[in-house]
Amino acid sequence: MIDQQSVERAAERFHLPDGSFERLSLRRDRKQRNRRIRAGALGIIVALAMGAVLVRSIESDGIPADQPPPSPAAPGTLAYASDGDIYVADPDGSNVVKIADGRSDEDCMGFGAGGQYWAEGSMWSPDGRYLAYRYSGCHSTREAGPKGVVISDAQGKVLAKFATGTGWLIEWSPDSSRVAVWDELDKTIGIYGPDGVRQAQIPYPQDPKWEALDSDPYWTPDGTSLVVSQVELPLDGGAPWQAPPSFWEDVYNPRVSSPDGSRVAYVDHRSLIVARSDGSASRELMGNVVGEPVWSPTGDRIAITAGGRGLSQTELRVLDVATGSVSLVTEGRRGSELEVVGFTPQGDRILFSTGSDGSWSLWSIGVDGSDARLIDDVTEGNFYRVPWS
Amino acid sequence: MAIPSGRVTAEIEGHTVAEANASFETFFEQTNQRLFGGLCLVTGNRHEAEEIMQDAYLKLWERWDRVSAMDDPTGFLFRTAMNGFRSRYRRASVALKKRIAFVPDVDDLAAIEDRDEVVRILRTLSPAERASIVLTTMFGYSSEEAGRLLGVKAATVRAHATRARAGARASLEEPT
Repeated sequence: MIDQQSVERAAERFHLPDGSFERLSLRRDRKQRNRRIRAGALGIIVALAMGAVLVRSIESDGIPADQPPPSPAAPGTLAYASDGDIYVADPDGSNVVKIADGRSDEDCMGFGAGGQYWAEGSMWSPDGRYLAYRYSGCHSTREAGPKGVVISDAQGKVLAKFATGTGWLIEWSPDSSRVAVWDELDKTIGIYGPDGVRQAQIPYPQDPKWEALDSDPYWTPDGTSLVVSQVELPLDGGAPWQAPPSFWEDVYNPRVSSPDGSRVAYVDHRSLIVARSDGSASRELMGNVVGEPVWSPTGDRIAITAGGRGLSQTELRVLDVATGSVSLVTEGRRGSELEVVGFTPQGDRILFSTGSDGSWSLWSIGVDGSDARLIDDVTEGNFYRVPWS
Repeated sequence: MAIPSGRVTAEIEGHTVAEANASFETFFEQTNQRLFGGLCLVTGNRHEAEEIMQDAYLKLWERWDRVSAMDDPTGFLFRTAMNGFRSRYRRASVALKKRIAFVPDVDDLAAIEDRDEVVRILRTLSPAERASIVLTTMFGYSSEEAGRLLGVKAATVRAHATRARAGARASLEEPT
């Protein structure tokens, strides 16, 4: 019988190891020390950024429909969420500018995990003209309020702000003209333009075998359908259908084009493959891959993460595309995640994010593994940038 | 040790940092075992459970002056811990899609499975389903409250509970 008594009894079978409070105290000391170090580093970054770009107001109800689209951000421009705020920065992580100033995760007191403004996934539209991020229901410390999506230009000027249901990713269509989000979780998907006007609402089939499982809608590469969990929803009104596993390979492991468009890199069964853009002349250049390939601006190198020598260790490696030689740049701590953010515009350094102890940090490092520099510690590990090509 | 269901007495205003720390330590001692047990059932992994638990306690400790004055700091602790669980669970799902490496799964539920029917049933469920069961049966949340914490519909929470109870019934009916 599953009742309170039996579940309590089952929970009592797990005994917390001795010294738990001591471990907690040590962890608190370590966190406070890191915070002091971070405060010093961040002070320098903020001083550099002062006066670069004005922080725009985030309260806006949208823009006239006939207004021309905003200018795109420079290739490689970085956007990330941290503790209730949204930031943009230069491709090397410098000139950090806060474009949305929200309540911190702490101030939200549990009502806005991640803080008032947060993001999970690619905030940037593919053309680099827009950012999309979420606002949480953290309008007070006592109760949850409305939540939804903010769309801004690359400088942080808010173009639209609209209420939505629970969700995480905000997926831009491949042509940057629309975003898809849950209007009501697991029930209806809304498709919105950058002006915040809803263009369509797609019902999600209420069939137990197609449970959405907390997944957000993705666009297919051609922009004609949305996919959720295992189901493709054609936008032309066609019937939803359950796609075969090969379909998901294309969605989750897309072919990444080199900056000049002549080649593609992709992962197939944990091997990194580089081929001509038409798929011919494919070469398997590296195994044990765990991340997605990231091209250097000049297209001669690829940064990627791979399984390391130790158990659950991830390494950052760089591949010389011409020779196929692979070099180790750095290795992550055991059990921590490590993700490539991108190269600097000169291609001599790599930005990467790594997470451990419940916090995330953004680093830059020379492609030869030298001179690692901490750029920022954040609460969310989502760093995204405008594509190079 | 069971968590007192009401407010844990907090005497912090006007007291020294040492006294505030002592007050937090008392709260920790009163609540940690139950939270840890619940998180072990949810995650199936002692290491993961302690990580989430410590993250939650750290958040409370850093603002203990405010949290201790709340009507129900224990409820806030659970909410913070479940936010942590949900965040990790989401991150793991996304990472799985991207094939990012993680600590290999350690199934601590398996070690005591034979000795406990509830554990045996919970082991057949997903972490989200287990979280629904633990929140509603052990921590006393309504399906609506649990749904808000987990980011799913109340109906989904109820469906999870129904599935677990069906599993329990089937288990009892199995010939031994």
